[in-house]
Formats: sequence, C-alpha cells, structure tokens
Amino acid sequence: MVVDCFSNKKGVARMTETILVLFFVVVLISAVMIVYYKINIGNIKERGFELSEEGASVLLNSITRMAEVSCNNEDCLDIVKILAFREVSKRQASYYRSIFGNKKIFVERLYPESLEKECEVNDFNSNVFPGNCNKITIYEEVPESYNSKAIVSSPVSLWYDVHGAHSLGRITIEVYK
Amino acid sequence: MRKKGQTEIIGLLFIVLLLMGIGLIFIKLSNSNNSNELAEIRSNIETTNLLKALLKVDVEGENIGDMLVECSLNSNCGRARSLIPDIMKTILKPGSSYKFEAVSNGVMFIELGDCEGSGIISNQPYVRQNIFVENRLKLC
Repeated sequence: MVVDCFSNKKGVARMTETILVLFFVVVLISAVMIVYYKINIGNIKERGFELSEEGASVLLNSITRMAEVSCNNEDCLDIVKILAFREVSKRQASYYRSIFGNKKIFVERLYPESLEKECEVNDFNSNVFPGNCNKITIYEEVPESYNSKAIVSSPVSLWYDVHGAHSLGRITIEVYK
Repeated sequence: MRKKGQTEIIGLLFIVLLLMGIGLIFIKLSNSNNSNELAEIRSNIETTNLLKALLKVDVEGENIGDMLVECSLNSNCGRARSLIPDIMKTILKPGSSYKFEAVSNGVMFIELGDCEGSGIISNQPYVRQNIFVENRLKLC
C-alpha cells in the first residue's frame, strides 16, 4: 500500500514535469513562429514597396520612350508634347488612369535654371519662356488617403522646340500605395 | 539530480535562443542584400541618364558635346571646364561628388571633379566631326 502511494506520487510528478516541458516547448515554438511571421510580414511589406519602386523605374524608362511625350528621333522629352499631353491625359483620364494608376508624374527643368513655378499654357506663350517656370506635371492621380509614397526620379534631356535647345531636367514619379 | 536537470534546461534554452538569433540575423541579411542590389541598379541607370542628358545640354547656342570636341581638337576647353562643374553642382545632391573625364585618341583632354575611390561609372562614346570622344562619369 505504501509502495503504491509512493509510485503514484512519482508518476504524478513525472506527468507534471512532462506537461511543463511540453508547455514550455509549445510556448517557445509559438514565440519563434510569431517572431518569424512578424519579420516575414515586415519583409513582404518592404518587398512590396521595393517592387512598386521597381515598377516606377520601369515606367520612368518607358515614359521617356512614349510617342506622346518623347522627341521624334532622339532620347529626350519634348516640352511642347508634354504640355499637350497634360491636357489630353486630363480629357482621357480613365484611359490614362488604367495605364498609370495612382501616381504623380512631373518634369522639372534644372539647368539652365528658371523660376520655380508650375508651367501653364500662358507661361509657354510668354516671351521669357522657359525662364518663367520650371515644372510641368504630366499626370496626377493622388488618392485621398495612402499608406506609403515611393519616389523614383532620373535625369532627362528636355527639348525646347521654340528655342531649338536642349536643357537638363529631371523626371520624377511618385507612386501612392 | 535536480541541479543537473536545471542545467540541462538552461542549456536547451540557450541553444534555442541561439538558433532563434541566428535565424533572425539570416532573415534580415537575406533581405538587405536584395535592397542593395536594387539601389545599385537604380544608381547605375541614373548615372547613365545624367551623362546622356549632360552631353545634350545647349547653353547660349553651344552644345556641351560639341564643346568637348572643340576642346579635343583645339584645346579650347575653357567653356566646358566652367559649364560642366556648374551643371553638376545644380543637379547633384549636396554631399555627392563626381568625376568627369573625356578621352579622344587615347588622350584624356579633360578631367573634372574630385570623386576618388569607389562609385558608379557610366561611359558614353560618340563621334562628331569625325572625332571619337569617350566620356566617363563617376558618381560617389
């Protein structure tokens, strides 16, 4: 009888020990899984951001080759075409939204320097153009709320047909997610 | 006996934590390598586009590419030497540096900027007035 009670107590102690060990193992595995998934989710978000940047880089290169805005036989952007395209993209908003999505695409003239201002058709008709403005927004579709904004830009040659001269500019794409 | 058991558990815990640490470092490192590659590709494209656009700039009816040919032919380099640093100062971010070199017939006739060491290099050769000029831009 005494022996039975002793072995029963020992068995309970072993069982408790096993349960505790199992509990800690489960807690440890859960902790590892939680940490792994947290890091993984962070990485996926980061990768998503990188991919949208990559997509914007590809778009940046394709825009400079788009017949709507590029020079005829050269690797540059034609300012007259850009001004015209801005109006067309507003009129055919749904078509260009399906191509570009939630983005802002703009071109800035950097050299020779000019007044920091958005170019309007009136500015283009002025005698002092292109010295009177330096920025043209080609396309703009900014959502009311967004989680992140990726900015990709690249230097580009700008062609001013009126003066028959190239300027140095920068084309920028802002991607809204 | 109990002490031995405790030591074993602490040892096991230490190994588990060590493995977790190694796993986390591996995940972080495998991701950061990817970003560096992308940044490098982007810098490469930017350097190439900058050099291409730079050579097309016209200032007061004169083209930078033509100025370099003129510099190579007649050693008339004053205008190019003053304009290129001016343009680079305007377009580069503060703190960035550059090195611009132009070579014709194996002779480097213009060297501008102070970027030494590692950087992103782009080459842009062209032929004008039967002169072959190779331009090299390095951004640091």
